[in-house]
Amino acid sequence: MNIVGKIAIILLLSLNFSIPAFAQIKIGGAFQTDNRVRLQQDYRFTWNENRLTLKGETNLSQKAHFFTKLWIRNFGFPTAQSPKQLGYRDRREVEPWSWELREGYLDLYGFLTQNLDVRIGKQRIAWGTADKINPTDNLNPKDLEDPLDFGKKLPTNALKLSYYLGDYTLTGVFIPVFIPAVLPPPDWSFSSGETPPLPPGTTVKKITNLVKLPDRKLKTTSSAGFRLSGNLFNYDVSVSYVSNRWDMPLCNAVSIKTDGQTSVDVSNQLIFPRQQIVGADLAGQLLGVGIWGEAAAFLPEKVITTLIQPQGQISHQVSIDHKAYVKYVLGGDYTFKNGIYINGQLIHGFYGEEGKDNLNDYATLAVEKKFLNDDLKLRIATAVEVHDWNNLRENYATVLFPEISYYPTDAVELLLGTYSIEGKKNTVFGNFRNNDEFYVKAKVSF
Amino acid sequence: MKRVLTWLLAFLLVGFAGIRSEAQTQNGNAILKKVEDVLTAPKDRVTIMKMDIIDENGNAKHRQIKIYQKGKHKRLIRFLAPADVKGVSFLSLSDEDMWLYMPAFHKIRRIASHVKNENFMGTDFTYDDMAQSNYTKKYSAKILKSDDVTIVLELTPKPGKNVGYKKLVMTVDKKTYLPTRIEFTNKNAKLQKILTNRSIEKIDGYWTPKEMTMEDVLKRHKTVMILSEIKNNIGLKPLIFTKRFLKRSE
Repeated sequence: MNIVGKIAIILLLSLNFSIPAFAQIKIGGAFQTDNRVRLQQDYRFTWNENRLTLKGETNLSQKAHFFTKLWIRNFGFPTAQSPKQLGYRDRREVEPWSWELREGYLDLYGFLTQNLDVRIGKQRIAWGTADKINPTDNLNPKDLEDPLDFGKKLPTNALKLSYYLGDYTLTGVFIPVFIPAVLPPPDWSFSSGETPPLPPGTTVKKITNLVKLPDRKLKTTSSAGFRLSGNLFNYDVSVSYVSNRWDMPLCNAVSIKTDGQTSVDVSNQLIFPRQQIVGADLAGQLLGVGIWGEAAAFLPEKVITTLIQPQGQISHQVSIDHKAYVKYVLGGDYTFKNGIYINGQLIHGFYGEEGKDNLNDYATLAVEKKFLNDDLKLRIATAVEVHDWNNLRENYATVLFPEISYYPTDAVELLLGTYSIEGKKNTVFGNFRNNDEFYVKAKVSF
Repeated sequence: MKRVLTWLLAFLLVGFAGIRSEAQTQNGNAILKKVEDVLTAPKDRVTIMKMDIIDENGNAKHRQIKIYQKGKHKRLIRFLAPADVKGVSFLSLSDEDMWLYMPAFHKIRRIASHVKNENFMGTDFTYDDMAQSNYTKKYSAKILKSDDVTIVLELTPKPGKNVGYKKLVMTVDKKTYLPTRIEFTNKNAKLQKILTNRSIEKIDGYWTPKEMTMEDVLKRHKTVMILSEIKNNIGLKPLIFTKRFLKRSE
């Protein structure tokens, strides 16, 4: 071997020994199946899901950590309409499937300075101390695919800096690109029922909704937030500020066109207004009872909806005023000596309710008890909605959620449950009073 | 005269009993302090333990936990297995400051006092049991009996202390000053649980039980913790006992 070859081998060997060995990636996850039937529709199946969650993580060093979570789902129902579709190799029209990068981020600990941690990537940033309904948790958009799974959010691409100073933590978050919420399925969509004023003698033939996403420019699409959290007199407290956009669309333009006959086409433009949010929360205990409080003041930009009539008349209406409104949650929990656990919350302004005049009041109560050496858990939860305290009888709704969880062996969970909704049509929950469902879920973690 | 002498004798006997009781209490507290010092002797410690949770029918669930311990008050416990509880972590800095991290919710939750006396993650240990062994802070001790091998102490809660038990009876080994057995009596005056420490060995110069069993005699349920790995005095950083570290994975 000539001198060049020998030098090449020496260099290669040196390089091999200088590269750190690949950190061992730990793979884990879960498999779950979820099926639901609607009670008022002859037990029609409404949910058919098999989901494989794969998690991979590794500590690249003491100062770096990587985590990723992937969903692979069979979700939905067969929609094949021709024999040909039954023969397709991937059978998407028979068993719809998808995969989704749910989370993927890099953690850098003690970055540049000992007190600074950085997280970059698609992540869930959960703020707030209340249970599931968090007015201050606004950085990730809502995931309303499963509307009664309250508090579910979509992880988003973000840069999070956390600076630790004694008992206090200062967190800054930057989200470069706006991601809207996942809207609920059509049979869970709530409409106010208002229709634009139509020309006399006409009916709506077609409605088109056009979503106008913000321009992909730093100033228009990005959002940011700050949070200072710490401990005061044995209470966990925090204050926060977020500047972002509504994650659910709002109509700002309606155009009505007639075909010259008695029907009209309505075209709606939907936008995502900007807002500023100032929030605060605390959690601790009082006389042995766990208590928490969380509030956020929202200041949206003013949105004026333009209505264009077929004859060309234009009118304007303020959809959302530039006025602050406050949402809050007060709650507490307690475990009795006999093992019964209760959790109650008072909520002003549910998630999805925006605007000073659109906030309703809710109360939730959950009672839980475990049996059979914690292998069996019974939980009954209820939510009550009140629209107008002056006329409660016509402005209320209730939801009841009984659920049984059984853990037959390590890492396996079986769930049976139902939700039963009653109420008046003009309430949020009452609008879905024909959506009572029964569900069966199974989950194994590995 | 006879009556005076009788009363004097009775007075002396009562006084002597009182003094002896006081001495027993003082000695009991001193012994309890010694026990606590032995339990928290290492400046810091990291242990990995295997946990078997066994029901009345002998069915067992298995857990693996890692415990970081520093000084008398700081403890962080992290579940390593099985998969459905992996990453769940518990931080205790004092009787009032305890937090639980559940990875599925991405949140740290402060533990209110009503939870402290509840069973920790399905085991027979309560959250308070899993926190540091602050016996002298919570209990007064008196000697019930003593022989060549053991001292038996009775521990009663100090006034104003929120503990889940009416009394503890602690059997202390005279050689190691480790408790070999602790009987927990509940507030209904019934024997609720028994903790047994076995396979006591000297590791890095510290007496250490390699097996601990907490048995709930009323539910006929027990949790067996077996030490699989231990490191003493490795210089654990204060950072580990923070909410910052609570959220990290192993």
